[in-house]
Amino acid sequence: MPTLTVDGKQVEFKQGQTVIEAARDAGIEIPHFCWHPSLSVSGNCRICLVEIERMPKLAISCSTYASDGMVVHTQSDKTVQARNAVMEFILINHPLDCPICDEAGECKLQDYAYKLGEGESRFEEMKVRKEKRVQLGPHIKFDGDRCIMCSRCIRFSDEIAKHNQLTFVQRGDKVTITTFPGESFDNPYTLNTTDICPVGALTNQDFRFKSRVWEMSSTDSICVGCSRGCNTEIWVRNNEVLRLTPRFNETVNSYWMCDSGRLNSFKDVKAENRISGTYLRKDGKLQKESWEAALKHAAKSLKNFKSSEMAFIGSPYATCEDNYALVKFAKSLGVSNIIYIDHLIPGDRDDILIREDKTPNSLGAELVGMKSAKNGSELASLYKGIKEGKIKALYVMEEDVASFSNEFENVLPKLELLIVNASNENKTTLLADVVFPSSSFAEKHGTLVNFQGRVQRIRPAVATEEMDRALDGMQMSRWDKFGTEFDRWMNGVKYDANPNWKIFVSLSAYLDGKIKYEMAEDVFKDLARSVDGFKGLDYDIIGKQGVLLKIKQSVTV
Amino acid sequence: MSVQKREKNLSFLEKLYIPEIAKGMALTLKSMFRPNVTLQYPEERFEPSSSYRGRPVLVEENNGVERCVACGLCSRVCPALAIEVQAAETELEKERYPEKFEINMLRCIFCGFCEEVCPEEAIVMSKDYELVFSNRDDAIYGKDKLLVPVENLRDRLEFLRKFK
Repeated sequence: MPTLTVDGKQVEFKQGQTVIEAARDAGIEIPHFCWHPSLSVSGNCRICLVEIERMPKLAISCSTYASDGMVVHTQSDKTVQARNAVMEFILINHPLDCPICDEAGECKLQDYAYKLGEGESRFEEMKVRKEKRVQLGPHIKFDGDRCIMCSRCIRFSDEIAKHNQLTFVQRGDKVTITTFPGESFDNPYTLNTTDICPVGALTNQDFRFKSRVWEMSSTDSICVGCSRGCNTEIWVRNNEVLRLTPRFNETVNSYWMCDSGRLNSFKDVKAENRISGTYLRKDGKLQKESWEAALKHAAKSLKNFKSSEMAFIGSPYATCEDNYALVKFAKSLGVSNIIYIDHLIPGDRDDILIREDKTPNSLGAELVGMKSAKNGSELASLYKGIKEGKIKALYVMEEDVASFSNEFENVLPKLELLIVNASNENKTTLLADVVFPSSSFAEKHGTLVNFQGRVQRIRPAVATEEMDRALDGMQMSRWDKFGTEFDRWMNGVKYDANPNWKIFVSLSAYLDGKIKYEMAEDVFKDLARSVDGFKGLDYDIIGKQGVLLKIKQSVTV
Repeated sequence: MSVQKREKNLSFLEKLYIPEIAKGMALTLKSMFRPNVTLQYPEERFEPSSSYRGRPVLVEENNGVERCVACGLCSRVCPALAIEVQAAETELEKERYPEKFEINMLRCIFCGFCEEVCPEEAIVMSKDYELVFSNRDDAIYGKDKLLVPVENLRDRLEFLRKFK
C-alpha cells in the first residue's frame, strides 16, 4: 500500500483517496467546513489548508489526492498562520449571536474558533446583513447572516436527496442561499441539512429554541418509522424526547434519515393518549386498576378458554423480545398459530432510505415464529372464527386491529375476552376488557431486525415509573445527575408502563409460571438459543452498529 | 494526667488583675462615645453599596420587555443548578425570549456567576437581601418576581460597566 507522512506519522492510504481522507482514516482530523465524507468535494472554505513539502503553496487537503511519499504538515507555522487567516476571514461577516443560536454547543465554527482562532478581530467595519428567519421549506428556517457559504446543503439536496432545490444567489460578500424560483425546500430529507450545516444557518423548525444541546442526554437508538431502521440518537431533557438525529451506520443509513421518521416517530412517547397504568372493564367502562388486580383478572379469564378458542396477534412494531415472549406465552396456553399484521404503503418508497414497510421489525416478528397476515387467508379465518363464536378470546399486542379494517372493528365486540397491550390509546384499547400499558420504543431495551436482516438494538432514553436513570444505566445529562425530587426541571412525566415481555412474564406467574426473565437481555439470550438466525449473538456483539443475521432473505418488501 | 502548664507565667501586676480590669473598663467607656454602627432592623434598614450581591433579578426594559434572550448560559454556569430557562420564539428582533425563567432561591448561593456570564446584561445581582418563604415551592422565583425595571437597577449596571 502506498504511504504518506502526516505530521511525522506514516499513513497508509488507498489510491484515489484525498489527503484529508487518508489523515482521517489514520485518526488525524484536519479541520474542515465544506468537506463532508459523503458529499462531493467543493473546496470553498479553505480551512483545510495544509503544507505539503515540495509544493509551492499551501494546498487544500480535501481536494488534493494523496500520493506515495507525500509529506504533509498540518501543524506547521505556515499552516497555522493560514488557518488563522481563514478563520478571521470567515468570521468577518458571521454574527456574534451564539447566545441565541440553536447550533451553539455543536457548532463547527464555534469549535474551530476556540481551537484555531486568534480570539481577536481586526475588522472594524459594519458586518454585511442578510435576510433572517427565512422559511425555506416546511421544516427549515434559514438565517442568512450565519451562513458561511460552504454549500453542503446545496450539494446534499442535489447529490443525496436527488432534489436540486437550493442554490447560491448574488456575488461576493452578498452571496446567500435560496430555493429556485417557485420551489420550496420540501424534499423528504431536508432536515439532514440542519445536521450537516457547520453553523446555525439552517435550523429545525420543530426543535427550534426548545433546548440548548448541552442540557440534553443522547441515547443510541433506532428509528421506528419504517423497516430501514435508521440509526438514531434520542435527545432527552427532563424525561422528554426533544429531537432525533441520525447516527452514522455505513450499511443502513449512512449519515442520514428522512424527515418523517425524524419528526413523527417520537411524538407518541409523550402524548395526550399515552396509557399509564392498567385498565379493567367494569360495568361496561374501562377503569384504572392495580397491576396485580389486572394481571389476576386477565390470567383467570384466560383460564376459562380452551386453546382452540384463543387467538394471539403480535406486532411488527414491537421488538423481537416482545414478540418472542408473546409466542412463548401463547404456546404455554397451547396456541401456536400467531399472526402479525403488515403495514405497507404501496408506492411510498424511494431508492434512498424510505421503505414501503412502515414497521421497524416485520422480519424479526417473522423470525421469532409469527406468520404474516399478508395474503389475507389468516385474517379471513380469524374474522370467521370470531363471527361464528369459535374464537372467544383475543390477545393483541401493540396493534390497533380495530383501525386496521372495518371487518375487524365489527367482529371485536363479539369476543368474550379482549386483552390489549398498547402504549397509546386507540380504537382497539377502547373495546378491550383488559388493557396493559406497554413501554414505547424509547423506554426499553430490545432488538429490531430491519429489511436487510440486520439486527439492531434500541435502548431506553426515557424512564418509566419503575425505572431510575442512574440505576438502570441510562444516559444522563447534567440535570439528571444532580436533580432532586424538589427540582421542577426533574419532574418530567413518567408513565406507568412496562415492556411487553415483562407483562407476559408477570402474566405467566399467575398461570403456569414457565416464562421467567429478569431483563430484556435474558429474553434475547433465550431467543438466540432457539431461533436459527440469531445463534451466537448477544447484546454486546450487536453493539452500536448491529449485526447482519445469517438468514435467507425471506421477507422481501 | 499531667498538670497543664500555663502558656505564660504571669507577673506580679498581672496576678493582681486590677490593672487589666481598669484597661477593659477604659475600652468600654471609649466605645460608649463612638458613633453607633448597629442598625435597628427592621425599623432601620441597611442600604447596600452597588457592589453588593443580593438576589439575582432580570432586567426589564422601559418598554416592558425583558433583556434576556434565554441563551441558558446563566443556567449552565450556575454551580448550584438554581436556574432553569425555557426559551421560545418571539417576533421581536431578538428572536428568542424566556418563556419560563425560574431561580430556585434555596439553591442560589449568590456567587454572581450568572451576572458575570450574561452576554446581554440581563441578569444582575440586586440589593435585595430580604428573602422569606415558608415552603419549597415559594422559594422558586418565576418571571413575575424576577423582573425588575431597569430604572431600579441603574446603580448595579453602572458598577458592572466600570468594574466587570
